[in-house]
Amino acid sequence: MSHPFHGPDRPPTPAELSAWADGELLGPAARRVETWLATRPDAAAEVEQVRGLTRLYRDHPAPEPAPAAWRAALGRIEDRLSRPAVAPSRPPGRPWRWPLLLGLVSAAALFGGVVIARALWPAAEAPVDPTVVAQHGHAPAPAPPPAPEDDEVFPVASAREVDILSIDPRDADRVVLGDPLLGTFEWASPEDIEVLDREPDPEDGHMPRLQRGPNAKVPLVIVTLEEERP
Amino acid sequence: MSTVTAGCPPLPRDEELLQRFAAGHRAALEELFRRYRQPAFRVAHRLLGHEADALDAVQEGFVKALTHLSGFQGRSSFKTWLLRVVSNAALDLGRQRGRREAVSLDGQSDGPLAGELLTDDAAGAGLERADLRALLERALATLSEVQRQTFVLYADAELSYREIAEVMETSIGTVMSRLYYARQKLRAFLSERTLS
Repeated sequence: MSHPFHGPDRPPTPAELSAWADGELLGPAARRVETWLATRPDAAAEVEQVRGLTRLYRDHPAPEPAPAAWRAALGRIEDRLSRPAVAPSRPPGRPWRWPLLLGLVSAAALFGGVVIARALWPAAEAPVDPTVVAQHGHAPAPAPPPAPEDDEVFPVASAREVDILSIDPRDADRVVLGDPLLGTFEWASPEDIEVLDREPDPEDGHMPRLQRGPNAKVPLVIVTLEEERP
Repeated sequence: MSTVTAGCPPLPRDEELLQRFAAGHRAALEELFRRYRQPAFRVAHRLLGHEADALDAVQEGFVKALTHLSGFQGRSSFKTWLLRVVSNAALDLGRQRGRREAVSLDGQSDGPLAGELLTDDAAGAGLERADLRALLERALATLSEVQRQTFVLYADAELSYREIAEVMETSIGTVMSRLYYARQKLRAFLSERTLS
């Protein structure tokens, strides 16, 4: 004996009813909903609600931009596409001195950050969990310095100079791409940084979700240097 | 007497346009833009609530979609690939800019919007289209990010469940479920305003 809620005669789930209202069920699945609806005329109102909501949104789209705005957008697209492509990691043709220069900048920033931190927060000696393994030129990237406070951030390296090779999923929220000193973050997208060892987010499937979470204690900030901004 | 009707030449397929674009034909880009700018803009605007931001997301989406063509070829249509990139760009931009109007959730009154919101008579009832649109955006803002993206791809981009599943790299069942729960939330939000 088949269970009434699992057999072929079971009533459709609300999600199935919505899908039928959208015209997305075909064949036996559609016929089963139609048979059920024939015995439940009151369910027609539910179907109409589903369709009405879709219609409401489709009938009230955003106002079209002016022709000049479209032309300007197309012009910007053409302009950006006509520029030489910028690889997410260090391009092969880059002058050799860049890694050295950036290494020096990184080291200076790191040193400066530590010095300032020690000067301002002498008791701050919390160990840092080096969970982010990065490739910075030919040398490993420096580990994030001690964080006296949760909000303390340190420029470590240029975004274009760092490849994240592995990262603990729990630490993904600590990675920030942007310029913290100006208070404006540029959120990294999966196209910006390639993270090789990271599980997809179970909720939205995005890979990875690079943002600073509320519980981040050791934010690693990858700063885009001014002269490298597109 | 026979008549000869000269039909319009068939429109080039997206694949042909992409080949021409790769060969450096500027007109191919213009045609792709003209073809898909509207659904891309509608999706971005719904997700961002602001024209300038939406145009930025459209621009970003076209650039990324066209510079990462290897990411879609043979697996989906250009339209679904583009909308995937545009909607992700819009969500990124929204996080970055704090959903500028947000969508001005705190500053707006719900009072004048009562009545018949779930019918087609709202405009006829004296409700300004812009007000109604703002209310619809506020309702969308109550959804989770994935629900909002799913609903917008269905309602505004008019993608099928299968196409949305491709765009979001998930199953059709998940799309069905997200749409159902999105609608439940939207209706609850809008019904509250109807009854207030």
